Amino acid sequence: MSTTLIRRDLPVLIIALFGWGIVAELFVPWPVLTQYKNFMATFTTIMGNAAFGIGTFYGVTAEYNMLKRNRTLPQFIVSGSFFAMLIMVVGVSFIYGFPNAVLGNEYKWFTYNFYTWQAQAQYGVMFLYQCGAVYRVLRLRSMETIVISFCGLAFILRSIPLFVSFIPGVMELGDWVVGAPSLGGTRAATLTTSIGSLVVGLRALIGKEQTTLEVR
Amino acid sequence: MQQEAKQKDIWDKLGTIDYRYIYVTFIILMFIPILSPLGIPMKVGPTTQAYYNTINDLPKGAAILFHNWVSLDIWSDNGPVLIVTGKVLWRIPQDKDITIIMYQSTSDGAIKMKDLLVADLKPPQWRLDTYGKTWVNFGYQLVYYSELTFGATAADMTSTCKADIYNTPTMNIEACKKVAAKAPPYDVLNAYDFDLFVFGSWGCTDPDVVVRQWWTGGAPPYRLPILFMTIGNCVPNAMPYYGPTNAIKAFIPGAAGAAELELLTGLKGEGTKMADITDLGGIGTLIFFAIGNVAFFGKRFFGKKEVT
Repeated sequence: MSTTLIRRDLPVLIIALFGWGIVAELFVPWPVLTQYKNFMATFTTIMGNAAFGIGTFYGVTAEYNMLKRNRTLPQFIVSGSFFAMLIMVVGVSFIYGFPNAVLGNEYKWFTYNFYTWQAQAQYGVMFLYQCGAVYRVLRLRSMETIVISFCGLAFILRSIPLFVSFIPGVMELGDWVVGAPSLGGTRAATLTTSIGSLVVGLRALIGKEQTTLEVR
Repeated sequence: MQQEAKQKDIWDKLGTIDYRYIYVTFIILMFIPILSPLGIPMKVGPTTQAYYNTINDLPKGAAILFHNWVSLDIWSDNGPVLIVTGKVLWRIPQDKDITIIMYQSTSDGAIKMKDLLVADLKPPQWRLDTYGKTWVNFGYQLVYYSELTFGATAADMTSTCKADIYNTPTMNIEACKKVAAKAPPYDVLNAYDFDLFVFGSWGCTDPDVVVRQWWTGGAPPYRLPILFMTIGNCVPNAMPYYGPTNAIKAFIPGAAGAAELELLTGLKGEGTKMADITDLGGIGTLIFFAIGNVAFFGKRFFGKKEVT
């Protein structure tokens, strides 16, 4: 068997065979197709989890390779924390088994005392970056930035209870910005991405979409 | 050719403030309400009022599908919304005979909801006494693992929700049988049987998905009204579907929206505390926006011209 057949043609054939059945269910009111779609929903969940597991494996090996390439103190700290957390979580999972592991007190302690705080810190840091970006980027130097600034400010003011309470019209202005110009823009973006997704999906189903083919 | 060494004037300095000063300023501003709540007044917006009215105006015997939206990484924004919504649902009087079926779709939710249901979101005693008859908790289910599973759940809940947290098969639960009997097919629990779907997400493309699968999906279309719990960033994505005759009847945008709902219902919680933080963070944003533009226009109109 040629490499092209295994790496390109066969995957495209499998995608087409399974994918067209799901598309057909939208247009053909046949109970067998609905049962097929529901079965595929479960099957893709299984495949998705398998892909996640494979991706996790590659992520771990990539972190190890990074540590081998870059033997500095900061890298040891970063990679060391990563592997320490990984060993701790995997250890708990294997000791207690699934689903007891994620429902047990150890996993809950890890979730509340490590994961929640560091994840919220990441979310909070993102806010700081956004504030810095507002300062640096939102300068009224062109018509586009003036419009963006006006709409952004209207929405920010609407979101701040202090201004809504004391300045009349702030709530109405913010709601109008979200409900009129922003709505038009969102609808335009949704239509564009929907049509684009449809085209990419159909091209993938017939094996013509280059971005989904590993082999040309 | 002579070149003057470029010296930074006041406008350059204003326009290139070190980011560290900006970050420290914001951290201080947002820390103040944590030390001492300010109690800045608030106003209830029309979407929050609509959110509350949609729940209160449900007819007798209605069925609510309640997605327990838990994301611990944004719990400061998500938590107040979920908790105040849950409290409003638990406050529905017993004589309205409203059935609530809930599920979680994240592993965070599986962990957090167990704790919430004995604390902040503890059901009233009459609900606890009638578990399985007036409410059901399916626990962590792969309802929205993908759009396929989401659509499959709308068509038949048992495709993803096989049993509740006590391992009772779905169609053996009295509440599920009662809800399934509301619309044909009478032995299948699907989107046709519910009167309201309270759904939460901070994925800004999720309004498209939930409307596609639970409003326009099905033949004939389900037309299941949706209340959307989300964060402020995703409000523009929900707007195309918002309206009294549209799919999304109302939405709650993060802690600020939760604060409004807490004010409306008198159920004080974390949202009200977060409102002060939002206020000061927003003020800081406006101040630095103004500084940046003062620097820009000052440089443009009053700045020294370079001589080469």
